Amino acid sequence: MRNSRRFMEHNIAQGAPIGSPADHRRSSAVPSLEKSLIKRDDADLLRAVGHYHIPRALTFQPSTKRIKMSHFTEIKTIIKDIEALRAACQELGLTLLQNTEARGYYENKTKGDFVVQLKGPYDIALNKQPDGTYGLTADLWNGHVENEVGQGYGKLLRFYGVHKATIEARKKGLSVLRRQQQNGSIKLVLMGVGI
Amino acid sequence: MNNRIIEIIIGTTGEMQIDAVGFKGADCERATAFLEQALGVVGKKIKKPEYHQRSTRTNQQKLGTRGEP
Repeated sequence: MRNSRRFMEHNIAQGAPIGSPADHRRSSAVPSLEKSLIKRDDADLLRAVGHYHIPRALTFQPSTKRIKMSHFTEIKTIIKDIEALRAACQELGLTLLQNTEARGYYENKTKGDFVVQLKGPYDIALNKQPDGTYGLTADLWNGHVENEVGQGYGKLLRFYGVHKATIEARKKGLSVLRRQQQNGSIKLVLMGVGI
Repeated sequence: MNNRIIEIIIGTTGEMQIDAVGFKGADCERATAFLEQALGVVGKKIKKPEYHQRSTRTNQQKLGTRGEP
């Protein structure tokens, strides 16, 4: 396009007639097209910048309940079994403490019936809900928590699921085979006369 | 004699898929009920095409937030 434009500019400078109405349209359309491209790029850039922050809030807002300090976000999960959680923490190399405080941004702390002590600056607090499940609360600022336990506590929930399912299967006298899958998921195979 | 197994695949985000293999009809519902109860919110249940022949079933179960995609 640049070449054709140069060609047309040359023609205009020479006072030569412009070939066709289509060429004329294109020559006048080019600058405004470029302008709009720049504008669009800026908007994309802004959107991209916004995009980096927005999903964080959007991801967690629908099911969050702010408590006390603004930096703590709560996600209602279905963690019910502390023993399975303890095993999950062990596997992740994290410590599970009872009845203490979780660290948050700038010396903020929030109380937890249980606290998963992370290696980074913040912890995860677990508080028992009226329905018997534990709600997870953590300061998600700057991805410190996410780096250790994954987005939406994914890693923690995955290992919790593995251990909870294993515990429940063994209770029923089933044997459990555990296999790490290539895509990062974990497969459990439950066998036995009990099923 | 017993070729029944339950396969559970736990995804990287804690999402779970429970698959009962070798069960007849409602047996597999019974077989996986204890897991569903223990593990949390049941997202959706998919009866495989061979449900009536081979009696297998897949449950998809989401560990984690309720009502989130």
